[in-house]
Amino acid sequence: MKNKVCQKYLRDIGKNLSCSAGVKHVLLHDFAERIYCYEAEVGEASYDKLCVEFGAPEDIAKSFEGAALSDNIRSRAKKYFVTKIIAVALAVALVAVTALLIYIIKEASGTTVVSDAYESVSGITNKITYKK
Amino acid sequence: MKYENEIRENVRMGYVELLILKMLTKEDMYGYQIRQELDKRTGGAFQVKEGSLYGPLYRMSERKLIVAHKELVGEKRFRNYYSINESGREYLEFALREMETVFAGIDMLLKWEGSADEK
Repeated sequence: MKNKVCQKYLRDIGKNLSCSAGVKHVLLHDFAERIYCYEAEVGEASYDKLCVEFGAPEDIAKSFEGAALSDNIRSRAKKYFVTKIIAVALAVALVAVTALLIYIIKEASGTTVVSDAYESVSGITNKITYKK
Repeated sequence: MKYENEIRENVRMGYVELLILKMLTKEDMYGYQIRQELDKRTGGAFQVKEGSLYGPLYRMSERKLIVAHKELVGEKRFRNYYSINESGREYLEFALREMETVFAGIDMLLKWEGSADEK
């Protein structure tokens, strides 16, 4: 389970890097693995403990200064971006399909109720009419 | 001193890549191990945070001076080991020669006590 503190710590490093989200992901890949490995070793670590152990987010970001954007990074960043877009599209599609299914089920059950209600109302009307 | 941290950081980080390469000629190492060895082998002169090593490691990987490979540690955790390759060794050899020349020059200048118009 990825700890929220670790995620925030990694996000803060990313905030200090001036590049696209995909490139940030590629740059911080190995370090992120190390952080999650550390978390698995020592259990939940506080933000301050991570700073003491690994350094302040801005210092870590600074150590990546001058990292050339090679074709390899660009293609990995692009792959990450495309994967993320597909994941978001799938999530949206899933939500839409679920919403549609719920609507159809409700609609179907709603019609029955309306039909019953109509029948019962007309029955009462008939009865009233009959009594009259 | 006002610039204490800045000077410490700049002076040290300039050499970190070379020192990492030198250590990797002895054995493959992972991030935490590099940090520990750097501290130990330099007599405590290079006490860098582990996080600051990933930038240099990344840059050297991109320049194909070192190669990273994963090794299973424990049941399902992986550790990234870094190893130097042939171009890394060539790079190190050339850089160390350059460093010797530069240090000799710096040393000469720092020991110089003559006047400015000395020929």
